[in-house]
Amino acid sequence: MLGYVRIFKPELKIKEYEVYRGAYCSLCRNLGRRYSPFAQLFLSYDFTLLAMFVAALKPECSPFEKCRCPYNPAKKCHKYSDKHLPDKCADALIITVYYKLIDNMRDKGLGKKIISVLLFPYIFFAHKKAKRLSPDIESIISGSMKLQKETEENPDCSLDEAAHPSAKALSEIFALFGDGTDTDAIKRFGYMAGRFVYIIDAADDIESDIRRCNFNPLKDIYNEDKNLFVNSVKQSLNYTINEARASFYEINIRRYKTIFENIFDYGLKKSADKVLLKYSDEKREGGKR
Amino acid sequence: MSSPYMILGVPENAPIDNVKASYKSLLAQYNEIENASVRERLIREIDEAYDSIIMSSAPSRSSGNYNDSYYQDYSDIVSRINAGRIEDAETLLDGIPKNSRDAQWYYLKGRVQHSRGWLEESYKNFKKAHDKEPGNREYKTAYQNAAKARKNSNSGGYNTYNNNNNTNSSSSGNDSGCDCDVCGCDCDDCDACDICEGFICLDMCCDLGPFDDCCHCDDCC
Repeated sequence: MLGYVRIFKPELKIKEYEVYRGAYCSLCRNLGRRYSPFAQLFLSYDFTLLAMFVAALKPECSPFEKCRCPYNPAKKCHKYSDKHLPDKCADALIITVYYKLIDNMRDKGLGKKIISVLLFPYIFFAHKKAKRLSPDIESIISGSMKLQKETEENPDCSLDEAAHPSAKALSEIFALFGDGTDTDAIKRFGYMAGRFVYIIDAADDIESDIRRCNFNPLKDIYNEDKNLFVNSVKQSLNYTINEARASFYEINIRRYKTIFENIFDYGLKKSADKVLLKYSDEKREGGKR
Repeated sequence: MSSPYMILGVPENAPIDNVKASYKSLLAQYNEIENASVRERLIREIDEAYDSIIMSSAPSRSSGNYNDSYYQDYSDIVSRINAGRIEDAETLLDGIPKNSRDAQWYYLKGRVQHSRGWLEESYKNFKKAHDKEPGNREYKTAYQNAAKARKNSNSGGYNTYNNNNNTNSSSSGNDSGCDCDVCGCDCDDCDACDICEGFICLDMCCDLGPFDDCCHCDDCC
């Protein structure tokens, strides 16, 4: 739930980290205000990236204000002065969580199923509100879910084809925030981000998907040879990260460039390595788990 | 509904070359039109007419002699790719029968898929094109760029100053580092990394202190 698209803290400057946390806290507050404090449970790093991206595209600078965390009064944090900046991000988050829960209730194991069923009643009503507030995002995501279902009916479909619906959905969501001049680059950047998340999620869940006979485009290669699987996934992810970076530089980004660079150069790689370490034969001896 | 031949201003069942020439001249004419919606509508009309003629002529030609394959000249497909009309280009490409597909077909298919974001398929097709015609520099470059981008996640865009600092071995792909979120130290010999989550690591990694001899790894700490 926390997300795969993360920063790599050790390589960030403190001011950059404060900006990132500011985006995170703004999104959290927005969820609390726009929906309810319960919605804040679903906060994730992936949507923090989206919130930061929205702020980065704006022609005018979005200043931060100091505030305190309502859950930890000792912790100082920052929030965007424009409290409506993360509005659409919050809506997108709720809609995504709604469809993810439906998916979990259908596909996943007992533990996740129970949790999803418990969370579902709240999300159902939150989703109704999100649908009303952002019908464009709802139609994008529901369309992509439908397309994903159709694509998954063919168990032999390629990785590209399987990743396409969610990648396309994210590209269209990102495109909602552009000003029309660099839409193609924004769309491609969103596409690559969605593709990255799909592939890494598929790699993360490969073993449970095989066990439960769920669809997973990486099944064949995993069953053939684990090392080949790790290698192949790593290469796909590297290619995707590079394409994301290339398209990012074509966007007219006005601020936070270095934070995004941190994500491309270190964060995404670290997420990928963490997931693939599970399957790699060379596990670390002693030291950290 | 007027027939596609009428839209392109050629007689019925005119030879393909005449159809192509007429399409090209109409396209050049319509590109001069100032009114965007009129221009787009007219161009779309001649596109559809041209495509339907080409598609319908394909089966009869493909059963013939392959030396005379009707799409020796891929210029229409190339011009559509360059104009960003990826779906049209792909439709035309897919219309070419399987046994007429040469290296250029695979290269163009790779380009179409790369534009769409289907990176795996595009890599496979670039590889095929390069394998079929190893001497061709264009296919070789496309294949090598894709292979390079797959090998290392830092080879897109321009490298930031961080890559030269080597504070952690980001390009080696070796996962033997500790996963301490604070210092990101990749050294597995460093004693402090074992208790990395604590304050000692903070001191070590952020500010070289009395422990700076313990670390064997040159890159971290």
